[in-house]
Amino acid sequence: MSDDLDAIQRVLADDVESFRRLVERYQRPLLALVRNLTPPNTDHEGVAQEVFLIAFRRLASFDPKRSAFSTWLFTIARNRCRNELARRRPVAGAELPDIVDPRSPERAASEAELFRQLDAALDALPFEQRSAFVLAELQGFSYEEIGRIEGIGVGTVKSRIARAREKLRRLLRHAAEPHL
Amino acid sequence: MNDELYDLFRRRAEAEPTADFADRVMEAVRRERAVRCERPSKGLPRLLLSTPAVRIAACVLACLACMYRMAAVVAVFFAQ
Repeated sequence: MSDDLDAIQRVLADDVESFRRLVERYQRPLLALVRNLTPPNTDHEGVAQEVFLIAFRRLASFDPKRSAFSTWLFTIARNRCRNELARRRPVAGAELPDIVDPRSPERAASEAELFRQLDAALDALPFEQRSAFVLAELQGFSYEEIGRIEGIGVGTVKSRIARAREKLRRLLRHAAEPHL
Repeated sequence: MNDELYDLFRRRAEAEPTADFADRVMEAVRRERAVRCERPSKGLPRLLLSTPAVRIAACVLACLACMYRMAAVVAVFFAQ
């Protein structure tokens, strides 16, 4: 995106405040990725903030000829999430994010339980499958972009996503049945 | 996964960041930049050592100094 490049050039020319444009544009999808790639008790915003800080430090090494800024940023985020999973730094008292739910309390409770099971199912996936699945299904990246982020070929991306779907389907089958 | 479940999952995952998230990131970025600006004198040796030619020259100088010192120590015995 040319607007990204404009902001990057300004930041590199010492206009640090232009970095805010990149933060505001990517904060939502980045946070969504972090939420889906790390356990619920992780300090998601802390991890997302670190990702932006790493991107700021390494901005001079970003090459627009090799990839889009979003691909580059999500590669950093994906690697940071993998490190976070390895480190497993739970935050005391952290809970699942609250959402305003207009449905009945029974239905909301049932969905909360379903979400817990979904998180558990995602946690049960190997990180590579989980990452490819989340990038494709929840972030809407193309297989080519996922390949660049993961550093693998398109064929491997497809097989990882297929395996992740199959495992999730199997893990969630009995959990989803009462909800169907 | 059925569509309703998938949509719920997606909606929950895409919950908004806190209102001051961008402010906090920018605060961290400004701190990072301030630290960078404060340490040019400390960073100079690191900057010099970051080029291969300077690194090699520094190693050669260190080796020569070391050999000179060793020779000076050995020379004490020969002098006697």
